[in-house]
Amino acid sequence: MFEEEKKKLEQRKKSIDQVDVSKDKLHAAIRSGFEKAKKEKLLKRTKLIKRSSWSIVVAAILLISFITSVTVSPAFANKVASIPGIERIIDLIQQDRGLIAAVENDFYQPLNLSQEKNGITVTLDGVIADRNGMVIFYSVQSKKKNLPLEIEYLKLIDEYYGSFPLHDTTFWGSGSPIIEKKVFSSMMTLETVEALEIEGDRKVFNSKLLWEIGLKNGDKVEQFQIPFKFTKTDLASKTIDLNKEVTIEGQRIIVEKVTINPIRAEVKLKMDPNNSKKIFSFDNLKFTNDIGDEWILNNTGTAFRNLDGTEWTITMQSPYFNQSDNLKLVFGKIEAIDKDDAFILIDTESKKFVKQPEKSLFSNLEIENNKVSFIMNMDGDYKLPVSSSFLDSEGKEFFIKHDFTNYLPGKKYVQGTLMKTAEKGLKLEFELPSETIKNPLRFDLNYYPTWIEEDVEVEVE
Amino acid sequence: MKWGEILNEKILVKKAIKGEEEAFLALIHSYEEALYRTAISYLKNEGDALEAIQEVTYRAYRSIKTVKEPAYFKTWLIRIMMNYCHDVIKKSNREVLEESILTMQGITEDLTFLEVEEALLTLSDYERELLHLKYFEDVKIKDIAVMWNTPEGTIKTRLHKALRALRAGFEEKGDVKRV
Repeated sequence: MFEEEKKKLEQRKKSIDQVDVSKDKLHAAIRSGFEKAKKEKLLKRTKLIKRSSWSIVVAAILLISFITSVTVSPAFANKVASIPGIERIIDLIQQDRGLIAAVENDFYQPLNLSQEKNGITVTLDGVIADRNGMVIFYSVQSKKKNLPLEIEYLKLIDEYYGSFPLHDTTFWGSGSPIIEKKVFSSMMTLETVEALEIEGDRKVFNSKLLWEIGLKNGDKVEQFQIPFKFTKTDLASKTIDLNKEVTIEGQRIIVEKVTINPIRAEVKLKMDPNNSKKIFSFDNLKFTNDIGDEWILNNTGTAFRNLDGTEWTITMQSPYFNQSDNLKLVFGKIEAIDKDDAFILIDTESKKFVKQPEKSLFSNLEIENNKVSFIMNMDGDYKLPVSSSFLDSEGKEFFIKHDFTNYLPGKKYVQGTLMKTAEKGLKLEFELPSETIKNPLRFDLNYYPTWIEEDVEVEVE
Repeated sequence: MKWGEILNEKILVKKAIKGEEEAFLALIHSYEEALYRTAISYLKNEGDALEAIQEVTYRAYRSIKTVKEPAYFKTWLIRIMMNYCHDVIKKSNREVLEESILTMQGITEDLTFLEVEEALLTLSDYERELLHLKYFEDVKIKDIAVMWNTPEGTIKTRLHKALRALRAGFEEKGDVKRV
């Protein structure tokens, strides 16, 4: 049967076998694919090292403070003893005084719902929910042969709006968390959960949700879906209007408002547009009270700033269950630079930085074959200091696209890569656009390791 | 392949899975031509095929830990290549035969070749993959069955279906539908 077809396929093979190939070119292709993979692996590995050394620190703190919290707070000891699977949760929230207090005050709702597929078990351990947001705790258990797994996405779906998730974190390849242990636990924090359903003409809260996780095992993504129900608390959040102005090294900042929910707090700041400095981050912001408790930034470090950088919303650990009658907001070191220095300029003809900040991190500018590259000396702190796009002197903007860039319609892209250098730096390389551009090229700074600091406190309560 | 070589390869694959770079590179190099020919059979020109080699090296290194059965390493690689080629063809949706290396080397003047290429385009990805493994890489049905965790009988049936589809493709000559 099908002898003729088989013969034709054989012939085709023979024809293709005649195609010559240059070994040099083949080897070059293999080399560059290999280099690319190695670079990525290197990036991932450093990330992991960072994470695991951090968890050692956490584990150490845990050992000490676990014992102390048990002796100090009998309420907590009882909780720990009575809730199944709570140890995993405590591990995760140990450094968050706000969430620990929420567990002590009965905010943790254990769920223990599991789904098993091909030797991988995903468990929705439980949630901590207040009126606005929720923290979801989950675990992944798998056999050693399935490791490593990559988390591709995390979603929360409302049963009535299935196609439009309430929450969607999709990792585009490079940033996805890697699971290398047989038992892995983590949490996701949602500042707001607008799970509403229409009942007659009014909206009521809907407590039925679907939680989804995508785990990549090799080339295949396995999807797990766990429906669950939870209860929202009636405890009201506290909103404190402050409108207090502070000045830090001449920069005027207004603390507009502090909102305190049981699981998260939010601080709204306004910058004076006439400030001489551009502010990059408030990473040392914290709440304190007179008995020495501290609530720092939410560990996922969520901060939203509006486009011109004048309005900031910063999420913090929650002092909702503050046991003292006073509360202060302390600024600490603020990452900032003079607005006149908040960008670099590159001239592709003279092949020079025409402008860069004093004590510059930038070096080794090279322009060859239409490719521009330079090195940023990061000293191991790999926050990208420049924007992911550049402007030519006529204001045309080009975005540097990486392998996993999500393209936006109407934007211009050039191919680029970001790699780590052996000297704890980052090397940015990108192609010049094919259309004509006018020198110099401008990159705005996103972060820069220069700080301002002044002892400034704001009374909140 | 001789038994000794097969044994050797198994050891190499195990080393590569453990993260030994030299073992990985040795393996890729031993299959570079097979990979290249697979790429050419789909993409038809040198530039695209070399890019495919680069990408497949990258993908293979990234997922080396997922190789379950060292004995099927070559087919594992070829499948990564075929997946990649299917994607490229779908994305570009272009006339693959124009300006191709095959034209340059006079191969496409051969009418049978053109006919087969066009008929292959009418097949589904799955059918094409199956035909490729069987008649291009000479993988035994028994091995395909083990790799895909499918009974041998089923693979045989599907192979027949693919050949029948190919025959239908030949008969459609002159009125070729693109898939």
